[in-house]
Amino acid sequence: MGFIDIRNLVKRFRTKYGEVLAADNVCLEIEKAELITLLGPSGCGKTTTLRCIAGLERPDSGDVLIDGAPMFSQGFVPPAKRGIGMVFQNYAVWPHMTVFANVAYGLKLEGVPRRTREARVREMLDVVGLAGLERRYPGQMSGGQQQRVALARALMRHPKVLLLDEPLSNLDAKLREKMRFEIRDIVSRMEMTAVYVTHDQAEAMVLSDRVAIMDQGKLVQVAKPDEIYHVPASRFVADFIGTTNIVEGQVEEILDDTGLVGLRTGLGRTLCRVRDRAAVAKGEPVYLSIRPEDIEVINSTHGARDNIYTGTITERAYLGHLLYLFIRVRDTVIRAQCHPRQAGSEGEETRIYLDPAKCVVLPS
Amino acid sequence: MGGAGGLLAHPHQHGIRSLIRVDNLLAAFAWLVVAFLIIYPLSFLVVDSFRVAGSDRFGLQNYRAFFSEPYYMGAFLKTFMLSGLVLLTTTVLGLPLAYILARYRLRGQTVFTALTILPIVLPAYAGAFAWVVFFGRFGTLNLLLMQWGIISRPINFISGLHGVVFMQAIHLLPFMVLSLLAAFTSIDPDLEEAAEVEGASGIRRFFTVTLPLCTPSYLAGAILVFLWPFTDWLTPMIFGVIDLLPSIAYINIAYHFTDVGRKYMGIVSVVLSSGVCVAAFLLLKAWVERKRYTGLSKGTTLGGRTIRPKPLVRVASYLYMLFVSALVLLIPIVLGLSGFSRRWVLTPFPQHWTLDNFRTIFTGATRLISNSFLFSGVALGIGVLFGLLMAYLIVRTKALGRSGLEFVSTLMLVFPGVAVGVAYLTAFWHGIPLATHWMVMPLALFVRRMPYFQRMAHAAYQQLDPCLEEAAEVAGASKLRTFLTISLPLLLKGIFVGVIMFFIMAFQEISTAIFLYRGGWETLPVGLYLNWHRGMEFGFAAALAFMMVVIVFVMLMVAAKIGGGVLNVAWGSSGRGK
Amino acid sequence: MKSGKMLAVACLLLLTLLAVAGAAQQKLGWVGPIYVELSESLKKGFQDYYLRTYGEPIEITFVRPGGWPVCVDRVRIWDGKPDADVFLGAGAPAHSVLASLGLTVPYVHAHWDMIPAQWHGMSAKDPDGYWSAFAPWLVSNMYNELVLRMYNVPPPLTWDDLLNPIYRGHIAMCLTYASGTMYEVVQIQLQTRGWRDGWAYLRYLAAQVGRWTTGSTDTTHNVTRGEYPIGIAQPQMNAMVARRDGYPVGNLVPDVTVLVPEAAALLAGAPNERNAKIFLDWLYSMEGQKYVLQGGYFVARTDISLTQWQAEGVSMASHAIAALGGADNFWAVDLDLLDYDLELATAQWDEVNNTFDREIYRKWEELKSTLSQIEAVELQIADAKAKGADVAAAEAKAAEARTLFEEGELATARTAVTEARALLRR
Ligand SMILES: Nc1ncnc2c1ncn2[C@@H]1O[C@H](COP(=O)(O)OP(=O)(O)O)[C@@H](O)[C@H]1O
Ligand SMILES: [Mg+2]
Repeated sequence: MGFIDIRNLVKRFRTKYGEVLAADNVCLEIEKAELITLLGPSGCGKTTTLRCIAGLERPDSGDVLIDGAPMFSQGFVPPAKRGIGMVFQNYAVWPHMTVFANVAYGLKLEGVPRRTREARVREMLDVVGLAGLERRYPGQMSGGQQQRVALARALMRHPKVLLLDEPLSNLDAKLREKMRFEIRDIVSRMEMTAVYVTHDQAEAMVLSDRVAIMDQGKLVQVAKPDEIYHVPASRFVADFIGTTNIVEGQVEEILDDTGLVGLRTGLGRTLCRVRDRAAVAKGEPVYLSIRPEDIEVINSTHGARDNIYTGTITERAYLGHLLYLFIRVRDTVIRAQCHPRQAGSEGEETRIYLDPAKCVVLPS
Repeated sequence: MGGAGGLLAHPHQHGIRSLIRVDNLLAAFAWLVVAFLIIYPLSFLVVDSFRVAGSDRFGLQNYRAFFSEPYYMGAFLKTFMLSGLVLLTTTVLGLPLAYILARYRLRGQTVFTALTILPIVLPAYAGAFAWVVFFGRFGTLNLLLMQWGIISRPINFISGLHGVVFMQAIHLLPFMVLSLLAAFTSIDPDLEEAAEVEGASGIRRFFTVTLPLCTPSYLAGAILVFLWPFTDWLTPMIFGVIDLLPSIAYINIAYHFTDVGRKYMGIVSVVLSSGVCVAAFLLLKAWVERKRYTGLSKGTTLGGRTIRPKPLVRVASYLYMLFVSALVLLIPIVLGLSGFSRRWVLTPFPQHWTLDNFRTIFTGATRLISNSFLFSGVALGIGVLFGLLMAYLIVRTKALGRSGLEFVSTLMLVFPGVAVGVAYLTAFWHGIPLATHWMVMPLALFVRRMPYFQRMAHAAYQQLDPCLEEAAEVAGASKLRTFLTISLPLLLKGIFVGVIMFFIMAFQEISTAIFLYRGGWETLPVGLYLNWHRGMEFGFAAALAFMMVVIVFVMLMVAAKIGGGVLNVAWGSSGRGK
Repeated sequence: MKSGKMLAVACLLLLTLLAVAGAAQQKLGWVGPIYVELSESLKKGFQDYYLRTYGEPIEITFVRPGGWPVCVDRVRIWDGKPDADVFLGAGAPAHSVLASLGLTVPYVHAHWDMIPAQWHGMSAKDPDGYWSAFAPWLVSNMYNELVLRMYNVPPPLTWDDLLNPIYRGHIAMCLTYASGTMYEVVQIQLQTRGWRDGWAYLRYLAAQVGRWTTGSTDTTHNVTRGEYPIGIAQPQMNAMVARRDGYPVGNLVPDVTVLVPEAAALLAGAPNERNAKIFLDWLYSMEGQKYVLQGGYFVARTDISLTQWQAEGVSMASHAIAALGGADNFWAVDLDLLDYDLELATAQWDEVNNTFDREIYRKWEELKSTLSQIEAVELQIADAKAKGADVAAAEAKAAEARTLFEEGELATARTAVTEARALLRR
């Protein structure tokens, strides 16, 4: 059992235009001191799931447990009693209060004496890098500073769980990158369990211990960032995380001895390694996914016999530190990532090699 | 986004227990109040409207008569038309004014804003009568024009529908200006700047971004303006227009004597017109709210954009403000002149000056003033609490029956005072003898005027980002605490205007008060009404009216001073710019 | 914050209010349609008297929710549990309805005999003792001298004068049911001219009207302010008071009119019955009557000599003498009063008002345009006649149109006008 346990969470919204299933049977276990991100395109139900954890939304059914204690289903524990801190997307710092008053709000409610309160707030403001700004009003601060106030406020009561809803989405790119690491640092230093909602995959990759990917209210994969990247569970995940080449195909043969399967794809015959042989059946339509960086553009000689295709370069996209070549093999265009000095100009013929170990077979 | 704490989510899962949530308890309480103070008394009227005159039977005869008589339908349409014209006039007059007050950094904005509010404080007939004295056939203007030989026969400036439109528009200008002001100052400057960046010029930006963003607040004000002609029976009658629903209803109900059929027809026209108007209003509102504007602004201390206008714009702005102030100030000036004079008879200006009227007030009529403050103050206290509760229930919760609550409470905007008065007296004299206790006065004021406050509270609540409240809940605050420490301070700016309007509207209420007052409960407006005929002089009444204006003006200025900071913004003065 | 302060203020005020109300005291309540000038005058006079006579002060409340029908309705709603003791003001119809509903009770006050039972065939007090006049007046019309002079027309002296086209558009007249006085004007026409001719007259009169008002006081204001120079259906004393206050207005008692015995009565279930009776006794005493006069109303006792009061220094006496055309006592005015059938008038209230509403008020525009068409064709006929043409047929048609107009057949009347015009062209 995880530190946070979400079981079969369902949340519907009735709107004028019909019913929206915002959380569709979501099951998730989050370990103690883990930072997990909920990642997915906007509207997929991340915020809803987070708000159900926070108690700001009442699920239609399912259970939410924090630290073993039931929060929902058997009774309903209000947000204030769940031991959580929360950072909202648009900060939600109270404009009529000073930074100090904002951050000290929760402490004051707990009845912490003034002295202690001041000391603790000052300490916290140090942590988030706002030392000396206690007397400012939010209106006099930049977005980044306001976000730090929001973070400080959320952390102030030493919550068991920190919930963050796209906390950085309103910041500029530079600041966003900087804040990512700061949040990561602060959270790990305080050994806090954190649920972090974002639609930015880079953010998710950098920050998280594990990433939970959502699509249309469903949780589609929960795994470590590298696993998500290299072993996506579905076409959606593969597509959503980073860039990939997706080729439709069909299982032609299962080579029992080597752990390989042979596919008939738009490229021709392609061999792929599969982890779980039982998951594929002969004749089944599947997708083949391979990352651009896993495609080798080869010169005349190459050791392998299989998975080598000849195509025409249709486009060169030069990005400085790397180069994309778009290569048409039969009717399929494959994107390959190369060293920026890689030769070959548009219209030229070239050959590519797809390492079977790096080809991922996904159910269609 | 419904906060979850106390909502009704799924009765089928949580059974009876979920019904007993705080929100539902609050809603139940609100229903109790509404049932006791609105539904119960008004039901007497509704029942009456189904009585068949001259028998003990009930039937639809009265309603049939209403629809089959072209006279009543004509009056209904004419009232609608009047409402439309008044709304148009206030919009045309008020839009530039609100924009100037909200966006330009000019001196004296607080005073100008307070000035525009003044006319509403006077019961309709005081303003109308002042206009007769100034604009009438033998009023100051005509007499001067004749003296100077410009005209030989007096010109009819105000008698007729145009006078009513003009008078009511001036009267209602504050609703328009204040609600637009609240809107202009609470728009996130980014939104406008975004449009500017996109290349929208000043005027274009105003019409494509600023104005649409103001729609909810505009509607909050517009509805008050639009429904007003459905309850103001006296202004039209003073200008010689009788065939409007409220006037017909008033005369039919108040003067039926032995002809109960006439009374029933009066009630039918009240019931029908209020039902139709409120339903139309709520439909309109639902239509507008489909485009959600929630979370328009991050908060509150923003003063919107204020700019220092170019000299030409500056002069034009001042001229415009002066023009409106002149229209508005005419009433208190005429009343003041009358109050300080005797025997002002068909001359352009008074000939004999005196302080007698004011002396009489201060020696004999202080009761009127203290009663007015007592009743309006108590009504305000109850009204603000209840209005906030209603706004909360309607905007923030899914409590049972909240649309019904809204409908019933809005209904009071359209119910003429005479109907409320008669209903209260009928319901609360025998049986429940509430009308024998002075609390009935503030309660009636509360019921009649609360919708004015509620509309503004409602608009303010809608523009408050729920995240701000949720953040407090997560931080450990109870709902009540959240409300007191977060919502209320943030709402203050929006509801401040509502509080002022509520108080003023309660202060000037007469139609119901005149029906309910007992000896010793006379308010300033009642005193005004009773003293209108001291012989044929109206100096004493004018002095009372003038005093009301002065009292309210002083109150407004003090409120603006005390309020300072946040509140200043509500006044459109560039509090933050300074 | 603000509301908190307000509440504090409110509570303070409330406490003082309760403290004041707490003291046990003599009380008296009036309800009625009299003007506040009279109520204030009576308050002052009676409080003096009470203190002088009974050695303790009396608190008097006066409630005037509106015109007399509103006051009657108020008493009906009170339904035997009145919030006042005396119904003060209003004429015979109001009082007879109150009496018939048992809402007033008979009280024969100390000066009952000083009020005439009958005057030119009209009652000034109730034979059963329910009510008696304390401030009688005649149904009159009012005009504004200054404005009439400007329009260069003389004051209209009789009912028929009012139909003169020179007054067209200059007359302010009230809806019948909004004013008892106006209702009486209607009844005067119906009772003197008969049903058909009465309505015919009212149709002609309506075509003269420039402005409909909603009460006799509304009319008074329109005339005194000069908005309209002539006002129909006015309480006689309004002109007296307006003149005193400097307005150039005059009162016109038309050729035929009726008496309105503005009366007082004791309410059934009056909470302060003893004081109410003391008040009624005082109201009809010489002293009380002086306060009535000072309040801007005429006085009812037969034994009053206004000239003597004038000599005593009662300031309103000279105004009253002037307003009554030099008479020394209200009842001494020499007049042709209608033998008015009050019972009939009260019985017809609903019917006549509704007819007036439907047939005259709501058809006002139509009445005016029809009449002007009739008059136009009559002019054409007269022209043609002067030129020696044979206009007999057209004349007959025009006369028919007039008859139809008088009977309210307005559409048919206009058809007749068209026919008359066609006949004339031929
Ligand atoms: N209060 C609400 N009422 C109706 N629909 C809602 C509400 N909140 C969210 N939704 C809908 O639920 C779905 C998921 O929303 P959300 O959880 O906010 O998505 P995300 O945070 O992933 O962008 C969306 O389709 C959204 O429109
Ligand atoms: Mg979201």
